[in-house]
Amino acid sequence: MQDLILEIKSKLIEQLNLQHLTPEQIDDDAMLFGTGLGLDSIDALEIIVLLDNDYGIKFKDQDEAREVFTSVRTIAEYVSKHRVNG
Amino acid sequence: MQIAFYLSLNLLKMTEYRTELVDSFELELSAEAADLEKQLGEIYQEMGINYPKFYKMNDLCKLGFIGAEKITSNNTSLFSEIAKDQVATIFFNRSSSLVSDHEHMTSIHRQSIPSPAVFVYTLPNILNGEIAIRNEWTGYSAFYLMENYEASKIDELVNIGRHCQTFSLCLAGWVETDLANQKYSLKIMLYKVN
Repeated sequence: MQDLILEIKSKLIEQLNLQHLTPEQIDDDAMLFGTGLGLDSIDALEIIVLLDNDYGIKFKDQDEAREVFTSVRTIAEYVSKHRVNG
Repeated sequence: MQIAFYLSLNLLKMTEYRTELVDSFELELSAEAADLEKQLGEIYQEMGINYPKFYKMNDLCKLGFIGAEKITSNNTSLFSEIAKDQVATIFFNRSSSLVSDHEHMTSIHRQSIPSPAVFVYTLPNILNGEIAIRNEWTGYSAFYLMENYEASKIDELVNIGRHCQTFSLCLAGWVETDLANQKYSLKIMLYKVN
């Protein structure tokens, strides 16, 4: 799981242009939106695209996606259970 | 109707607002595309700005943002005297948002879903928006495309803008990201309008 968490952090840094951060600076349980990392709605769309392209994950339910996008750890746990590829 | 139109045109010519050039900043960058982006990042870091959203911007917005930061940091007392809805941004270039349009097309061909973060920058006036957000300005904004940099045309359109909406300060200038010739060019001016 830690390897997957690190992998997702690296992908987020690249996909969301967070060059000012390193994976070590992103807390596994930090809030991604609002406080914490301070991501916005465009970042949310980018994460949806990233999960689809890299892991074959598609969200049908907006509320489900909102729960998954709480932190890097919740994303990693979801990817671990539902990945189709990658 | 025609008479009223020509009368209004003549009134426009008669009411020339006095614009005073307060400050200006120029920047010319020339390199391979990857180096240009790197240069912009280095300039940003040298300026000591802490605005992480900079890294999400396309090169057009980064270039204009750097110019705006130079001007605002050199004129803090002037900007503090002016209400935020009295600051206008009027920018010009030749290449529009091609720097992102090209990347957007590439992402469509490369993957089934184009990148939302690239798509939102496929309009040149997003530059006006980024600078306005940074400074909380809510004044007049416009982005014009021109064949080449023409100072007189910029002056004219700043004046026309003043006729459209009241503003006391105007950040105007040429923000060009010429990918074909690997050159980025910035000429940004701050006008006080009376």
